[in-house]
Amino acid sequence: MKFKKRYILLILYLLFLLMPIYWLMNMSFKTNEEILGQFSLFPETFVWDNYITIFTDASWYSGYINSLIYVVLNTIISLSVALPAAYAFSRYEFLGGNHLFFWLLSNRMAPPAVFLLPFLNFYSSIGIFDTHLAVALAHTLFNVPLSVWILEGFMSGIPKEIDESASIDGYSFPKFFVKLFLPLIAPGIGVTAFFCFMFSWVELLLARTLTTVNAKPISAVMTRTVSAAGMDWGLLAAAGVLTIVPGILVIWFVRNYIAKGFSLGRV
Amino acid sequence: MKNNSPGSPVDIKTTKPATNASKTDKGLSLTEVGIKNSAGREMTKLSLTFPPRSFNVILGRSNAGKTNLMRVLAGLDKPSSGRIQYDGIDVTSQSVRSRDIAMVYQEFINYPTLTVYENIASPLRVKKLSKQEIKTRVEHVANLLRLDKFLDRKPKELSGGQQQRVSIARALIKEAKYIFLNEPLANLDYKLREELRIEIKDLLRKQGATVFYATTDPIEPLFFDDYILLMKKGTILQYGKAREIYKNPANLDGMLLYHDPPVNVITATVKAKRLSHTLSAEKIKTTLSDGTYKLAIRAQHMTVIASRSKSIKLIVTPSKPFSLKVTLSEVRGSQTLIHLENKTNPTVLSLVTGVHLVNIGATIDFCFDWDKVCCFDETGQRISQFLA
Repeated sequence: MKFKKRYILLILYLLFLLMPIYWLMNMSFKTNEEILGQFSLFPETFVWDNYITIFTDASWYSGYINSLIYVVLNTIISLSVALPAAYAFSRYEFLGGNHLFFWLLSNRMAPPAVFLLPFLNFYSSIGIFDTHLAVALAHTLFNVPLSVWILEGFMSGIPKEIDESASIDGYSFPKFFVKLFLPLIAPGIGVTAFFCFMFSWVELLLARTLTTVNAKPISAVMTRTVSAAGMDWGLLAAAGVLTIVPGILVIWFVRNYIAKGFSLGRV
Repeated sequence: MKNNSPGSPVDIKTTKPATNASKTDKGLSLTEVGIKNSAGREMTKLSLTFPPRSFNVILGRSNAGKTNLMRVLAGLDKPSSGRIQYDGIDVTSQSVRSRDIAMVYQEFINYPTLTVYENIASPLRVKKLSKQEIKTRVEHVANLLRLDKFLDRKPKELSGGQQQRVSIARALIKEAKYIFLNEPLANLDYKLREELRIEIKDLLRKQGATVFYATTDPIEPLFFDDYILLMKKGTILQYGKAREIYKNPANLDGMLLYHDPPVNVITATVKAKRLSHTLSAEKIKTTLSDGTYKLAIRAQHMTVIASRSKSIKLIVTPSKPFSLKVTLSEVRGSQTLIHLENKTNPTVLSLVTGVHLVNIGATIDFCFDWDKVCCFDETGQRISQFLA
């Protein structure tokens, strides 16, 4: 095949985009000596040791488990709160509805650091500091507004006549909502779950501050890995690779709806 | 087709709908019902009774309030005042779910995630009928609506006409006492509309339900040939049997609404018991007092005088012949609609049977039958007797 000039930019773009990820993977299979010692595009001595350490050492893998627990917990809480709220915003007109919608969204604009101190103090005093629930609840402050916004867009795309038809046909509201309505906005729920998952997974500040030992997330584990022997580069790189994996998996499932999700269901 | 067969003129306003049913069959009645339109404006209060098992065509232009009325009748919207009774039972505050109704929308409303079979079966599944009974009934209805080949498909994979058939099937299978159809054929093409119209008439007759059918098409009330409710800008113009209202419209607005092609409205003046109008120079005897009036002449009653003696003989009370200039002629199927003008009337329409190629600018002689002219006073109210 003839090489076309217009591919040059594309190749450069991919190179710059994938370079850091490639280098991370490259490092994760090297020994610390090789990482620090020489420049090599491929690992000269290919080792799995870094990954084995992560999967066998409880202080490492528990970080992943903790993260997953509060991320899933947060996604469930956010969705179950946002679904009814979004339905109300999309179907009913009520006094101050538009203002409430905007106010809800403006929550999302505040920097997480603002809420750090109140959360820390409040959770300590009611005794849920350093639990998965603490982080999950803290993240709902940011995820619920976004979820309501995305879901409202998807729901508004469903004609109201379907709701009416269902009640004419004799469906009770809960039955209609679960059996007919939720399947209709399934892509929206998927996209919303993705956004909740991603925010919660990468959020560092709240997750690290509200936990110490029992619910310590992977992001915190990674940033505290300076041992007496210095930095363990290979191990850090392996942990980094493993941190990317869940995101890739989730994206894979909702890839067809992401664009619609970014435009908040209004495509 | 739309010829007025001779019959005694009935004042519709005083005619009570014929009820030959038992005590529990009282139809649907409204008492002082106030309806708010989508803009929040209140429509005039309605008191009306729709007889049981009647087919009521609600005719009006868009924004006439047909949908608002229908939604209140069905219970989707609450009336702002008054009471609604189904068979004498007050249902004003009853939820839609507990009412015995079915509805078909203009926009092919089905459940997109369910198959055609599941869609049609859904009202029965909610009622928790046995699987076998659901199957027999779904297959029966699907056969009637020629959907039997598509039961496994999703509604979105069907054509518009088939999608609307699915929602009609869903309405039929419930065997509801009241069926509401809100412009069900408006989004379909011409041929499908005709086909489905015949099917609807056929199937709903057999169901024995009280039907409400909103439409903008003036030919549909006569097609379904039962009751008609004429609406304009949120007011009810007239309610009664479609045929009788066609013959005896109570007001000019109603007559204009309920006729296609448009009715010719000619200004007439009465002076000293003599009526003159702007089509010809004749002056005829009248019982009316002095003032201006409006004469409504249907396009098919503007008769072309081919050979003077022949066609006039068919007319009971012929008007004096007059000439009009052709401005446009459109062929509509097997009829020709000729647009005409004279000095005072910029558009006069004449509907002639057969395909005629008429030259623009030509002059044609016409006359009309005074017996078929409707006379209205300045406010648009009908004056049934005006010829002396």
